[in-house]
Amino acid sequence: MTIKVGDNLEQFNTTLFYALPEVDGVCQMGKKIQSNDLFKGKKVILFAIPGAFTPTCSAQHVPSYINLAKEIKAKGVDDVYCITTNDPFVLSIFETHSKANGTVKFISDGNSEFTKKLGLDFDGSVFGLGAGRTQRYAMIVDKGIVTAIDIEKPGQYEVSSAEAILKKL
Amino acid sequence: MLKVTKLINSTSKITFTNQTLNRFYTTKVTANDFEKLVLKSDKPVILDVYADWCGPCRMIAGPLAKAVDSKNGSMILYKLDFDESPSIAEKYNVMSIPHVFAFHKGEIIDQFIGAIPEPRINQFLDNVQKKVNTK
Repeated sequence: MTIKVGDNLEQFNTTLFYALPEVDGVCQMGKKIQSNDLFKGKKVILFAIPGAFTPTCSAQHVPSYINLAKEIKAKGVDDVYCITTNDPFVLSIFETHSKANGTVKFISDGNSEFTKKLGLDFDGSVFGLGAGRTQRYAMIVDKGIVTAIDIEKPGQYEVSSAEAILKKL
Repeated sequence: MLKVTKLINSTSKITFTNQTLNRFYTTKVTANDFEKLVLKSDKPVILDVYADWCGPCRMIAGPLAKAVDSKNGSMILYKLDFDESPSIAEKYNVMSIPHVFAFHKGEIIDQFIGAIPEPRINQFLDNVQKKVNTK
């Protein structure tokens, strides 16, 4: 079962970790949250990358959302979330490295639970990424309901970019 | 008739002051004794939430112990291992460590996060003492 337009994400409520940005003199543990808290009462973009620091993710996918953050929020989007199956410690450093500065919030689905519930996991063993990674996608979620979803074909980067999503807002 | 006037607790604080090393031993609390030792303590409790693998936590442990010790018994220092007692850490919303709380009569009266420098630790403890004295 793969998630589709019209589905309500409330039924897939999962514990996730919200990665906190790096701060000097502090070890960030990440904040435990329920996925429902991400979507309740607001319009958000949820885009997923297979792995922090992997080439396309770092070089193109995440920067596209950072660069177009203003335009996206101007269209009534409250938050832009980037979800990966990395742990919150990796994402904390990735957030600093990406220079997002709060424009994109990083969510850790470290146990791949949420990703599997949505039917959006894939086996990246051939690349050394292991099983349970999230496919690359972008979705618009309005008060918990999926109003648009674009899942990237393996190895591609076209339909899930910020530019592509902006056209749908 | 034997009258027990003082109950010696098996987890009572032991302080070693070595003239050359100045090392302090801080008692660890867990979810099992948290209520008794921290929430029901007569004296204000300084709680240091840490993890073994956390560098900044190790940095602050010594200075914090030294600073509390200089308060001459007016407050007690306990430490809580985040990995060992996650339920307590979650209850008090610990997201970053080191996270240091000041408890008085079961309530948090002050707190700080991160390996702050020694003068600021002393300032924190002075503020805690002020708050306790004005209650």
